[in-house]
Amino acid sequence: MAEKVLMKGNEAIGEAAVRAGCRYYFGYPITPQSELPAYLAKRLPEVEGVFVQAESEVAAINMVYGAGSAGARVMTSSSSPGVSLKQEGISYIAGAEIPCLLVNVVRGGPGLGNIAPAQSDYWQATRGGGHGDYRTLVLAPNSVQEMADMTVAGFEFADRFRNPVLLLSDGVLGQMMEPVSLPDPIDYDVDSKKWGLGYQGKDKNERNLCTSIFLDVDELEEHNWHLYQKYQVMTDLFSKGEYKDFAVEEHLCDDAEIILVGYGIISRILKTVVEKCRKRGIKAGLIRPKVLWPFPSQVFERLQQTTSNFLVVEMSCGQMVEDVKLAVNGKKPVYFFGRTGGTIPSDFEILNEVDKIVRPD
Amino acid sequence: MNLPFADNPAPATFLIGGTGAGKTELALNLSLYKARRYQNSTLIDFDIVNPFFRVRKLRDEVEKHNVSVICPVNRVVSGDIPALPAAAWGAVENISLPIVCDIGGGETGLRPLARMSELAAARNANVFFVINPFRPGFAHPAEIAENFRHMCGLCAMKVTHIVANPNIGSETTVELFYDGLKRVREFAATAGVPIAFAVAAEGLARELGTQAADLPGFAEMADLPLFVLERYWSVPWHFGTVPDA
Repeated sequence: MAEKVLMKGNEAIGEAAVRAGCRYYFGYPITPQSELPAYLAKRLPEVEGVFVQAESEVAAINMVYGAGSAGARVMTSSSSPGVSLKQEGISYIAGAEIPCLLVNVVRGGPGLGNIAPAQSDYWQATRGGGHGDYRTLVLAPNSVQEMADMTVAGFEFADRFRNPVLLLSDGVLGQMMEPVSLPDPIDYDVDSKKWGLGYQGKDKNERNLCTSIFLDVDELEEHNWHLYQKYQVMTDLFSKGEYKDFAVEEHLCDDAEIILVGYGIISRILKTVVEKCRKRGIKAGLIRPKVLWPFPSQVFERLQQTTSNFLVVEMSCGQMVEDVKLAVNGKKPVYFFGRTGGTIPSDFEILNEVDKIVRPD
Repeated sequence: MNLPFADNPAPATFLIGGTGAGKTELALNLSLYKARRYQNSTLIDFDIVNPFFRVRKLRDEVEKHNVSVICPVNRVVSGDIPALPAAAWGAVENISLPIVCDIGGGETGLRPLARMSELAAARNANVFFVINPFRPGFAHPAEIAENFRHMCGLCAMKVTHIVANPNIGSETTVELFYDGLKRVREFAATAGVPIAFAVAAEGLARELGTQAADLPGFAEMADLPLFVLERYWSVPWHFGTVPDA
């Protein structure tokens, strides 16, 4: 790790991607993520990489499909409406099992909405977004440091699972500046993937094929169950295997009468709320999912046994709250508080919600 | 202390520099300082890059302290449109008004400045190039020089002074401050542009062994004035917070 520098979240993703061996970026500008392509437009040529501002989001995601098939570490980024445009390509990439990193710096929707921060793309991110039975691994950073760290982790996970990984950020994290330690650069071998189109280890007459088309019904069913099994392996690794600690952060939950739940930037506000609750004599705790799919249900299954209430806070009208309700399975009340349209909830208004639940009189 | 606008009854200050150099934070604090010193000042939001972390968000806060804020009207305050408020030109033309102009970062942000270069020259304005050597593109003297040349070429204004703003936010240490300041000094010496002052947040200034009489304000620091500021931009959700019970 190098000494700390001061970076915007968008810039930190760009530099971390270069250091993780990413040499290909294809995208199209949109606020509030444009600092990321702007950074890589300057940076990638310095390391003999390729930056292309494509003619559209649809073109960009298909360029990612191509470079990923060749075995390269490749990424794209956009903000909500642009990510909607990329969904067809993401489905193809998931079907063909091509590793890549996708970044969504979420802004307010639906439609054109506005450019202020939001968390209203949770469903799109965690349910696949495009057509067909597929999943993307979804990572949710809450600081500029994690924007860098999860970029590196995202490329590793993508390669390990041959699956697209989505970094779900928001306009605050993309724009805010914080000190960050950048990862050490690695040398990445494009020809290391034995399934990749660029793999040279085969007999001269053999070629790899990367595709999501399976015209035979039995073949497609077999392929879909193969994908399903892969998603089960991922779920196990993130819920009870080697990544279970990576997947979730718990803070003061053991004795909590109310557990606040939030991801990304909201989790930082909730940490302040937990501190203020404790000073007021309210035993509050925090669950912060760092991985949104596979969702860390196991933590809720365990903690519903000891706590009395859950309060989910989101910058949306309520999306992740459905996953929390599924995990808690009706055994404890799950409340919701949300702000939308670009407003960031203050600790004050969240405290009021906590008061209403634990001190209803 | 030899301050660049000490003898000017209504100094005009333009802040330019790379993205995230600290221009907006400095603009807020300089306008508060000038309001105290000259009974009023005007802060002009000339940033057309994007509406995040802009002075417009803190308008109510600074207007309590005799600072007038000129920024896009409420209707477009969060709009992603490169429009400048018409009132800005009148304020720059009014030679009896102390003004601070916050210019957007990078190449795009500098564009509106060329239109103002004649007005700025007529007012004998201070054009400060703000450098934070912990930001991408400004780490080493040679790198700073390249970006400085490029940006000065775009804005059609002569930079009168450098402002050294070495920091990584709340984690800035004394050692880190001096390391960054050294690199800015090396660049300034090569470029032949004087350093007007260095900048430090209140807590860091105390660790540096100095403090301003009033905040924000100037303090003595070896051979360079130190502008001690209050940090307005911490994190966005801190506005409207409730004090601890």
